[in-house]
Amino acid sequence: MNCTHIKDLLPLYTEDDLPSQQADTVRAHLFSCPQCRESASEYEASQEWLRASGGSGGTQLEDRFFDDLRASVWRGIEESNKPRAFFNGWKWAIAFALLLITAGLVLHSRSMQPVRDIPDVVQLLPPPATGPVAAVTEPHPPKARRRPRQIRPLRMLPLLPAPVQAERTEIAHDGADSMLRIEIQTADPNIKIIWLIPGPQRNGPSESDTE
Amino acid sequence: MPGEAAGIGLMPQKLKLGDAEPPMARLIARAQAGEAEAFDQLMIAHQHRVVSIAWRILGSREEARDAAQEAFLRVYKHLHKFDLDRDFSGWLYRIVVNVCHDLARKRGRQNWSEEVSDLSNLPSGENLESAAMLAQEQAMVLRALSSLSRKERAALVLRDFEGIATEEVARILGSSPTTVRSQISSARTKIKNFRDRLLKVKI
Repeated sequence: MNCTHIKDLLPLYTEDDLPSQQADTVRAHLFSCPQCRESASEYEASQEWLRASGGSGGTQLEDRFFDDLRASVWRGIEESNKPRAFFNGWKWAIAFALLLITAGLVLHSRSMQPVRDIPDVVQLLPPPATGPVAAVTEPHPPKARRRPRQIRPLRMLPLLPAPVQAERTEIAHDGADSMLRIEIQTADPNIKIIWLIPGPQRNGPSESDTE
Repeated sequence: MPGEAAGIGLMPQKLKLGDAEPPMARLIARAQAGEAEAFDQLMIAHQHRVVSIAWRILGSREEARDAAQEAFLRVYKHLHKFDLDRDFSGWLYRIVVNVCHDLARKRGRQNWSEEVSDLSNLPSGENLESAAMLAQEQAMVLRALSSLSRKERAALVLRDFEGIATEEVARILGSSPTTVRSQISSARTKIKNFRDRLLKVKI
C-alpha cells in the first residue's frame, strides 16, 4: 500500500474501526513512514479535541432541565389522551351531512326547471319527397285534448332534434283504391303523419280464396 | 403535577430509584402495560444520552430539549409495538435521530454560530476564565460538527461521542456498515481539517 491509500484509512485506523488485517497493514506502514505517522498523530489529536471539548454535551445540565423535560413529555401525553371535543369528533359527519343536503337541494332545483317544449314536428322532419304528407288534423275537443308528452332533449347531444313520439300507428287498408293508409301520431296531438302508399293490385280473388 | 391537575393522573410521583434498578426488559414490559411510573423510569434512564445526541446533532440546547420531548412522546405512542427481543436503546436512538432530522428540516439551514452560544450556560461556581475557554472550545466543536452533512454528523455523534459500535450505528441509521464507515471517515477528516484551520488562525 502506498501513502495515499494509507492516509485514506487513517481516520478509521485512529479509532480501531478497521478490520484487523487492514489495521496490521497500516500499523506496519506507519512504522516505516514518518509522514504518515505524523498524519496519524494529527488524527488522534483531533479526536481527543473532539471528545474533550464536545464530550460533555448535555451532561453539565442541571437536574431541573431534565425534570422540566419529563414534565413536558407527560403534558404532551395528557394532551394526546384528552377526549376530543364533541364538535371535533362530529365535524366530519356534520360537514358530510351538509354536503349531502346541498347536493340534494341542487338536484331538486334542477329537476323543477321548466322543460323545453318539443319543437314543431313539421320543422324536425325532412321535407317530404313524394309519399309522406304532413297534415294538421282537426283539433280535438277540449276535454279530449291531452297535454303533449314532454320529452327532455338529450343533454349529451344538444344539436339533435327532439325525438318524435309515435303514439299510435294505424294501418288502414283502403280497398277502393288499394292504398295503404298509415297514420303516425306525433307527440303533438294536433299533428299526425299520414302515409298513403299504393297497395298491391287486387284483380280478383286469389286461388286460395276460391278454394 | 400536570397529570393530576388534568384529573388523568398520568404524571407519576417523584421517583426514588433504588440501587437494584429493575432490568430494562422488565421496565419496558411494565411501561408497555401502561404503568406510568415505569415509563418515567425509562425516561430517567435514557434522558442524558437522548439530550446529548440531540444537542450534538442539532447544536442547540433548546432544540435538543424539543427533540428529546418529541422522541419520548413517539416512544410512548409506539411502545406497545416494540418487540422486547430487540435492543431498546438502538430503537430509541433511531427515533431520536429521526426526530432531529425532522426538526433540522423544519428549521432549514439556520445560522449555527448563533445557537452554539447556548453552550455558555455552565454550572455556577467554576473559574470564569476556564469556563469561558471551555465554552469557546465547545462552541468550536459544535461549529465543526455543523460543517458535516446531516448523515455524517449523526454517524459521528453515535460512534465517537456515544461510543456505539459501527454495526449498531448502521442499524440505528438504517444503512450498511460500509456506508457508515465511509461517513465516519469523511466526518473525521473534515473535523481534523477544521481543527487544523483553527490552529492556524490561533497561531
